[in-house]
Amino acid sequence: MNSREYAQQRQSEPDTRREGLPRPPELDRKIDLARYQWFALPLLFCVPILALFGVLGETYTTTTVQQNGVEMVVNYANRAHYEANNQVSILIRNNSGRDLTDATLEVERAFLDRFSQINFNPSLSIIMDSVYRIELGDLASGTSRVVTIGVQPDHMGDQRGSVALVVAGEPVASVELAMFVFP
Amino acid sequence: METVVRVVIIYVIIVAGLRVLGKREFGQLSPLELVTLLLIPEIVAQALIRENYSLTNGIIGLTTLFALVFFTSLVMHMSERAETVISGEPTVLAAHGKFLTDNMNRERISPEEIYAELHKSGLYTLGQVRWVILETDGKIAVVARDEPDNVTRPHEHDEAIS
Repeated sequence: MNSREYAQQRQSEPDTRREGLPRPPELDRKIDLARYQWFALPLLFCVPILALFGVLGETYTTTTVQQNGVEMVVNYANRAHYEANNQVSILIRNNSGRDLTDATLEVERAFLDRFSQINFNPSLSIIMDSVYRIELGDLASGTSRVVTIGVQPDHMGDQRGSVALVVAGEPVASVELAMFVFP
Repeated sequence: METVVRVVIIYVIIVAGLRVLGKREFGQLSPLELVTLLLIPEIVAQALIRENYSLTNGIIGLTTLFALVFFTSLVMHMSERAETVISGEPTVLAAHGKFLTDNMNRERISPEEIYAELHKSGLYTLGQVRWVILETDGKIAVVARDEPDNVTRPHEHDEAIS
């Protein structure tokens, strides 16, 4: 039964509960939007639809590099929300067949200084002019280390930087980070 | 500075959103509009005071709410059945000088409330009334008889039927 038939049936049916109160006349119902609504409503619907598909939400990405026998896997939010906590997780695996002594992880200050409430695990060793340095100690062949850095974006827009594994003062492997922070 | 920008952005979105939805949505306070008006500050407050950190979340919540309100009103307009389901139907509380006690009990409306509405309409007894109707927006409407002066004694016709 379509809407018109339903309305006609309701008009013709005696309704004892209405005690003779007349029903309003039926209207030829149709969609009649103003010109500005034809433009504005798709825009209005666009935001939640994009959000449903995750375009406006926080997303994580994983970047893996193999350099000099070291595998570095970095998992971080490539799209984040302003002042919403997220985490950068760095896995370092020594596949070189030799021990790496005095390994340190260095995260570019130009990147991390754009965040607040930064938590390092293991803890931060020293802040240099251009990098945050985390001492990892000796990294035996076949072993791995995980470093996690909790961050809260303090600036909106594109944030870029790098994280590098340094052994005996020489960079062994590095990954470029790019995070877009929504307002 | 940042708070001002946030408030301006949210304000512009709310005003534009209400304008796009049209006059009908916020011209009266039906249950649908009441829920909408209660939800707007709940969603926007998080973006303004930043408990939920991001303006993006506030805008997403707000546009989602506006889209839902518009879609619901569209469905209600195109389908009388949907309109009945969502908004309900008017309930006659009194007819032709008599209370309809079943309807009054179902809607939890007392005789005192009905009389209060009669007084607002300048009437003083049920005998002067053709219909008393509880409308879908919760307001009580009184339709007087064509010749209200033919009632001689107050409460003469105030007997209940069920």
